[in-house]
Amino acid sequence: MNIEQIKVRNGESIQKAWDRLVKWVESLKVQPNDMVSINETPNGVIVKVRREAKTFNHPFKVYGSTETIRVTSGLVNGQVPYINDKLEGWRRIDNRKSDGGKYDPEKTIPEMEIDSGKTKENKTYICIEVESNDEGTIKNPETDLRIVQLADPEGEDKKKGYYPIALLYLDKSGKKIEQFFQVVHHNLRYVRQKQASENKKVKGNQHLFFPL
Amino acid sequence: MKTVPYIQTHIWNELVDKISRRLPINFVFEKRPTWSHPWKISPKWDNDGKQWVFTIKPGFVNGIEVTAPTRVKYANSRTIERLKEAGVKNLNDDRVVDAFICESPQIEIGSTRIIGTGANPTGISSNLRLSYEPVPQFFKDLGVGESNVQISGSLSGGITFKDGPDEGKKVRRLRACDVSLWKDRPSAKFEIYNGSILDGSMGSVYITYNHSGGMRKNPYLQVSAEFNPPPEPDSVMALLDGMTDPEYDLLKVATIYFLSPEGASEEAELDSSWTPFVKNDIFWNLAHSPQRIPDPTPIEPIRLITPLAFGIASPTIAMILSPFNDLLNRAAQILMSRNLAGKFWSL
Repeated sequence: MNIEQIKVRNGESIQKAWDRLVKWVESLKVQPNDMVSINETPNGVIVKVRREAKTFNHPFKVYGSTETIRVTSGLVNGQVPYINDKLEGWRRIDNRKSDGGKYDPEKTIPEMEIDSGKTKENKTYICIEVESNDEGTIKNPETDLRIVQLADPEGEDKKKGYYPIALLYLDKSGKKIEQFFQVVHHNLRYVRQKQASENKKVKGNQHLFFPL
Repeated sequence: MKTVPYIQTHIWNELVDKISRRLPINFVFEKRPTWSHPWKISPKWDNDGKQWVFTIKPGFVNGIEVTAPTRVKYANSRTIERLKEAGVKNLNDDRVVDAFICESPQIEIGSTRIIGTGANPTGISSNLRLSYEPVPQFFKDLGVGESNVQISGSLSGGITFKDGPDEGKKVRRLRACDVSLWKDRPSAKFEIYNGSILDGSMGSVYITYNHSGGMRKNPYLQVSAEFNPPPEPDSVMALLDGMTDPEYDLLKVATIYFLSPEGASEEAELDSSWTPFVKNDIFWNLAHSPQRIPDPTPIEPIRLITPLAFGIASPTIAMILSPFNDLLNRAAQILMSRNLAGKFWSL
């Protein structure tokens, strides 16, 4: 409301001026929202402003651009997963050589391209894929411990264990990433569970993942 | 002669009070939080709808998205487009739909409960002392009083309600609601067959594991005035004690408190002058699993092998024993039965 409209003019009816004044006072309120909260006291309003949270850089954090993703370093059973870099193929997510040594000269952090064929309802999951022996040992991380993209976080191959680390919302075309939602925030322990079998058919989920 | 209009003193002074309450006197910038965790709730006042709503940082259960009920007017465009693509019609503003919390819906805060003065009692002791939900110390320090209505007398002589001491003009009111996470699952049920004299069949009891229908694949949020979980079973044999196995597991996500300005009446409405406070109960994504359905253990049937009648009696005896073996098997299954109450754990 314009202040000039609140002011009275000579000879104006008091009632009309009063009504305008009351209406103006009603509009004088600090409105709370998700960043601002108010505490009304008889002497006035205390306005609290919330700040944006700090960034939490945790293991397996998925981030990237609209078409590629990167994953911060994390461990499964103390081993580093591999990701399919768009230029150089399967590389460790911690940007090191297979023996753990640094690259010289240093390479860019590996990034994986999103495959629009592995989406469902404009969503896709980034998952850890584990293939182990019966005792749960991951022998060769380059082939047996990978970051993969799946439409269904349960995966298709029951011999392998899958665990979603992030969900990506895509645009209507299903090709560009709009939002990242993180599922996992910790390093993981993988256990392969031996199940009692009937007629040589294993029942239940053998692949268990626990946060560390 | 012209009449001179006048303004009553109390009307003038009420306006002055209103202005003085609304003038900002201090701005406080909160310390930057370490991180914004999953399930974090942020209430806000919707000025158009004149009510409180909240948003929630997405959390996952077993890596699966969680849904929340919301009105179309509070739903994100992504939700509305998804529903239209699925063929849902009549998406008017007030219709309640299920939105994924990753789609950033605003969720209404509906009914709330009163804590402190004006609250309903939660129980009564043997000496006729009413008990109430306690006011958290944090809010006591801010001026919220405990509920103080008590009863006196006896059941035989008559009971009267007694108000506590006068609260004073600076008293503040406290309301709250709870946000809970639900996960549908199969449940164990006893089914009873009464038998029939027409065909001579006996009554029997069966144990089945299933869901009555409409089991939701995704976990979902509910907002209620108070979180009331079903009682925890004492033992795995609770079904035999008559306890019903519910078809869901649930967990409290958060309690949202609303603190009134000073001097608010007991009947004051929850409006933008109240201050929200959130007590979060979970901070990490979750996993969930129900109990495993027990395997039907085959029993050793009762047999009687006898050389009577050159062995011809054995099949006859087996036929006689057959219904008893059936009853024995059912009894064994009932004794093995248990509720399928599941557990949530954090990732």
